[in-house]
Amino acid sequence: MKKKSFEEQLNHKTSEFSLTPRAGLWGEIEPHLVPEKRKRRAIVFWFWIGASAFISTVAAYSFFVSGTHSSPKIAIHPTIIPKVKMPVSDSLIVIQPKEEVSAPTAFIPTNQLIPKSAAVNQYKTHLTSQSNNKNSLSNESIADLENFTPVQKTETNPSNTITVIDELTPSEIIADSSVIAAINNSQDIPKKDSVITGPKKANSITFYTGFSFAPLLSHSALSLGKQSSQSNTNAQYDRQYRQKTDKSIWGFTVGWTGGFEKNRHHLYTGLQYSKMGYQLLVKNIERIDLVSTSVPFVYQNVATDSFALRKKDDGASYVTNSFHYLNIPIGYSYQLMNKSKFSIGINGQLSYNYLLHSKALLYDESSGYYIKQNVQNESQLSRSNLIIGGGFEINYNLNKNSSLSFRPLYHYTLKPVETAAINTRIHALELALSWRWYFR
Amino acid sequence: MAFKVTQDLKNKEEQLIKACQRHERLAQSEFFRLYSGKFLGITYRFAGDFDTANDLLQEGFIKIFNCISDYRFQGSFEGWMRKIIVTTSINYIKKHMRMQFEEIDLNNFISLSENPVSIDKMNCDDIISEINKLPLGFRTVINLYAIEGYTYPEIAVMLDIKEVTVRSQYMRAKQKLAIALEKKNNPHYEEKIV
Repeated sequence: MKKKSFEEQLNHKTSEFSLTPRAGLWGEIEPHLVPEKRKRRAIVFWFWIGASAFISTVAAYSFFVSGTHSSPKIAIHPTIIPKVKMPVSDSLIVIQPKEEVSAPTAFIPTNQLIPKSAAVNQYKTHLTSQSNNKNSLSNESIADLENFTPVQKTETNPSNTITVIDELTPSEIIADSSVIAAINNSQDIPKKDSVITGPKKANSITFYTGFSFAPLLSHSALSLGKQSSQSNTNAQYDRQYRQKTDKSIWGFTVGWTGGFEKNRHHLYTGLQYSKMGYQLLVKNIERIDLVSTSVPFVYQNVATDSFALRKKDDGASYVTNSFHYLNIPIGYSYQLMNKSKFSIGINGQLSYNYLLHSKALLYDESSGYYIKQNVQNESQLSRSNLIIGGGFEINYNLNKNSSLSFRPLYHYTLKPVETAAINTRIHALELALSWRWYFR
Repeated sequence: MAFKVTQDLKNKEEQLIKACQRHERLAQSEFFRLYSGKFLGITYRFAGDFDTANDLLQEGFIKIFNCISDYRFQGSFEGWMRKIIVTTSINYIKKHMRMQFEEIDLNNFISLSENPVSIDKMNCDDIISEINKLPLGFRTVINLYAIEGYTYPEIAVMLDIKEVTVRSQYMRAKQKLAIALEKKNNPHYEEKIV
């Protein structure tokens, strides 16, 4: 029998040597560990689902419940009306609210009640007589009046009976100077400003739903990962190499979008499918595991994320890493300029992204073929991610109920999409075009 | 049957690793329970005292659990963890302990390897105790080469010294340890060589 060498004997005797750790050591280790992943993910995921569901529910409620009826909105506060000594007139009295109102109201003071049809006609006449006035209504507004169906409501006060025609369209109302003068001359009437105060437009929320499509140009952003701290000097080199050679690729985002607008504020969400990624050049195919951890080792049939491999004649290879996400954005924009036809605003967005794909394109070393394979758990890809973005928004109103919106956004993933010696984040330019339908 | 048992154990370990990759505390404490004794043995061999060994074990386990997502199920998991524990110990020695390597002329050196001392019947604790009595440099190369199985070039990189220095240090360390062990084995042993 061959005699064991000194090393073999020493190894045999001591390699299994063990001691009992000091009491409470696990308690000292625990605070330094990364918090449990699943719970953290779940909190973020359910927060996003909750916020998105809230916005959607409010929008749906507005459409199916609130939208089925309308309650009268009175431009003049009811407590002030009794003090008004309304002059008797056979003409329609129209008051221009100081502030924008959601549903401007016209008053017809009458001991002589005016029939609905007469009210409309008088109002039309009034508008026409004002046509040369700079404050007059636009032609479009007059055209709107053709379809106007007034709702009459009679209210009684100590001095007069007035008829309130609710929800007059169009939105601008011209003040009748004689009425204003009458109001101003009355001691019982508060100043014009306070009298005219109506429900502000700020209180009205407009919901919308729609579709969004966005071409998306994405690129990699690299930093040294955890493994690099373990004397992996190659990581530093590989990062510099990739910074020089990585290329952008085109992807897209498509799906549902919805939200609401209130004055200049706009809050939106959505449910979208996104494809983004980056392309990297690998000179020596055997080193691919060092530069992209989503391709572990030398293609040993180990599943990875979806990537496409393309060999070039000079021996270098491009690897395209594509990530397919379910994307739930929550965004806010503020309109800096708000015209009747279009508005321009700034926009910020935070998206929750969940990695969807389960299949990967792989290069099988033994056969030399590309194969499709399931992504395994050992793949070092982040299953979920948060993406922060900012940009601006241009909205063009096609008509009363729909609009087209163009929203260029610059995105950045808050967490690396893949982690190892080199951490890879993605930054992207999204050129979102969306069509919106408003529940007015 | 034996194959099935081995396979079951392997599957169980794989499930535990995956749970650790999700940073589940229960799985992590199970791994700590399974490996802490053995790994403390490693850090103790390198550090030479119990308190430092425990500190190194703590640091090593924190690294293991926080980097476990980097493990790709290639090769033995214990080997992967062991490597981290050894690297942690070496980094500590390089940073906090003064390790000196004196130049030795191998031409004038007579190896003991032709007649190696028999330590098969020796107590493990006695061997470890003799290793710990060696100077720090000798102890480190003995641990790395003879026990952990690293090669001379690998040790040279780890310790930032020349390969020839590693080789000469090991020869000298081996000789010194062999004599110490022989003395322990045989109290009447007399040093004849060198």
